[in-house]
Amino acid sequence: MLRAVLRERLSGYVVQALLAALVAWLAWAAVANFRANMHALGVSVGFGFLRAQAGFQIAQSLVPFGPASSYLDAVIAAALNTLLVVLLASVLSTIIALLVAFGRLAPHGIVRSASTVYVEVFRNIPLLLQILFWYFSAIALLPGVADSLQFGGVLLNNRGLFLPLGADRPHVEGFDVAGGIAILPELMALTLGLAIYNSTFLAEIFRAGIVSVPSGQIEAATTVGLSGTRAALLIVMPQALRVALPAAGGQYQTLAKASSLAAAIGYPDIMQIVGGTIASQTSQALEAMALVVVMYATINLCIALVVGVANRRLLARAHG
Amino acid sequence: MTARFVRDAPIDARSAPVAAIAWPLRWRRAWFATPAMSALSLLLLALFAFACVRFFDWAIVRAHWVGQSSAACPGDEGACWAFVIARWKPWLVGNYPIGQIWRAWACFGAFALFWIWVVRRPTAARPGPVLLGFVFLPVAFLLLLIGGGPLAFVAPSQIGGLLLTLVVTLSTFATALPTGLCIALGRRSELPLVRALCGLFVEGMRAVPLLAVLFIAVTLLPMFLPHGVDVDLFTRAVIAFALFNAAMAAEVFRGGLQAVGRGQIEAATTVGLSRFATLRWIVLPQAIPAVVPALVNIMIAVIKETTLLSVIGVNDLLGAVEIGAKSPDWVGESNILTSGYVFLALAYLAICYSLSRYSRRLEPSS
Repeated sequence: MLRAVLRERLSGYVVQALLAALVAWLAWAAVANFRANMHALGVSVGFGFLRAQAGFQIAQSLVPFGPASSYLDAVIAAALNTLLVVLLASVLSTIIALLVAFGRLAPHGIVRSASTVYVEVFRNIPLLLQILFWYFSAIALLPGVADSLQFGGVLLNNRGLFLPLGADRPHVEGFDVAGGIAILPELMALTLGLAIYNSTFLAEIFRAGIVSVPSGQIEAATTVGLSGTRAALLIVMPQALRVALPAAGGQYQTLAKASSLAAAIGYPDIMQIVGGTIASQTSQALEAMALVVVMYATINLCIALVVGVANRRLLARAHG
Repeated sequence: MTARFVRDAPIDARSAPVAAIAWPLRWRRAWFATPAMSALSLLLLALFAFACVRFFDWAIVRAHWVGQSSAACPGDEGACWAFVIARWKPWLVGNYPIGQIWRAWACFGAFALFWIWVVRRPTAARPGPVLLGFVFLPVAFLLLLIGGGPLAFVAPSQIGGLLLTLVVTLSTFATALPTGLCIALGRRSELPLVRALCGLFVEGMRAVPLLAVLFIAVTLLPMFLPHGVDVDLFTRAVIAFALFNAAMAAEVFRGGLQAVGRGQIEAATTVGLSRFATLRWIVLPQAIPAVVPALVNIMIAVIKETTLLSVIGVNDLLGAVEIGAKSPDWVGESNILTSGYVFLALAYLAICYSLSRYSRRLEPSS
């Protein structure tokens, strides 16, 4: 009996030992090849380069950044740019998705068909194609600086969107716009593309959540005299969110990863600055890509944590 | 041996009877029930009609259809389909030698026949032959397209456009599915090391954008290979796609495997089936049909992901259009690139939408 158990265990141990040996050998071979190749190229390995002067410009930076700043500053500026576009696109796509999800369930035939067409069209066109379209075809069609479109204090032209900041209103000055906050066309195109593409997936997730709310709840809300909108906001939404949140969290992670497509239109995010500019300028491609991987993994982990906390709050409120 | 007239698969369920309300009444109820609703309907209809007229005007009435250079498409009032028509070869097959182009047609034709056969099967039939076809076809296509021996050799870098999208999608599918299944099984293994390695792979891949995986495969992979060993860009890109989607497929298979009840496996062990036999005859026949719709969704995702190839400099459908719009003959009019994008959007929409309809048909109706 004991021998039979031992024999069965033994085969497991042998398989695992062989696997460990294989993995170790692959890792050793990769490291040996890498060191030989680096030696042949004369490139040193390590993260020491991060303290060196970067010497390039970043078109948009939320922290002060100049030609004298270090590579580390560039990494931080790029990370903040990624976070900015992820945040903007997440908020915008959530708003669109909620409208479309309710639209798909509306009693109104044409609203329902319009929402369905929206979802089917934008989820089946590749995201990269949509971003390129917004960037090269839509924003390029906006008027130049001299004939900027003006909505209140907001200026819109092919150089971007200019928002007023307090008393500091954007105005055309020569061939450029001065004052206010400038939103780059790259940021506009990326936000729009990410928001619209992901809103189709989020809308389906929210719709599944709304459908899961028992119809008795809505009937009860109508009986006690709540209007359709109030019933939707106060009764349906909190219960639907509880069902939809875990899947929606996964979609926000997908959105954050997809923001790396910024590299295709030159928005200075992690992929473009760290994986592109820094990697090619310093020849430290391994270190740069390692940073890229770690940064995206961290962003994903943070989203998972935030969604987890929100989910626990929702559940606690439901049961408490 | 059953007689030939005996069905070996259930017939598709008959569709539900249609509600017997006359359509004018149905439309009035749905669209014009109250005055407010009627107003909204009319507004939306007007908007829709306006958008349709504008698009029709741009895409048909004012479009330019013939020409060999950007001179054929002056101004930006109308679409430039001349660009799409004149450059049919780059976006269809890339730089594939014109003398050997029959091989590309053979691939498209074979795939079309295969796909017609797949779609016409009853949805409840066993997915085995289809999955085998998906493994066999890309191997046959690559052998035919690259050639060697009696056929003239064509470098993989000369394959481009829709042909490349097809070959990359099929190769990714053929490699990622078996790998994903193995990893999913590995995550259920009793051996802690196997479990840990498979889990690490899946979670690691899911935390990283595909573009980063592609960049790593393109820029870093050569650094880890022995000196002198060179893998071409096409193969590197396919490896990156296969590994990334193997992680996605592993998650799908894991769901399918979890759906098979424990009792099934225990019963199989009780009647004396070996572990492999349990897997082969009890677990997989239940797990795989359950995940087929999700696998079609992975295929849709792969088709959309192939556009990323243009970012790393491989000539896929998108790359062919972008390079075309930058070529000396077609440079100058902003409208040309837009026409290319609209054409691509319609092409991807047609392919992915029909696939998603197919995936929905495969879902077990509840």
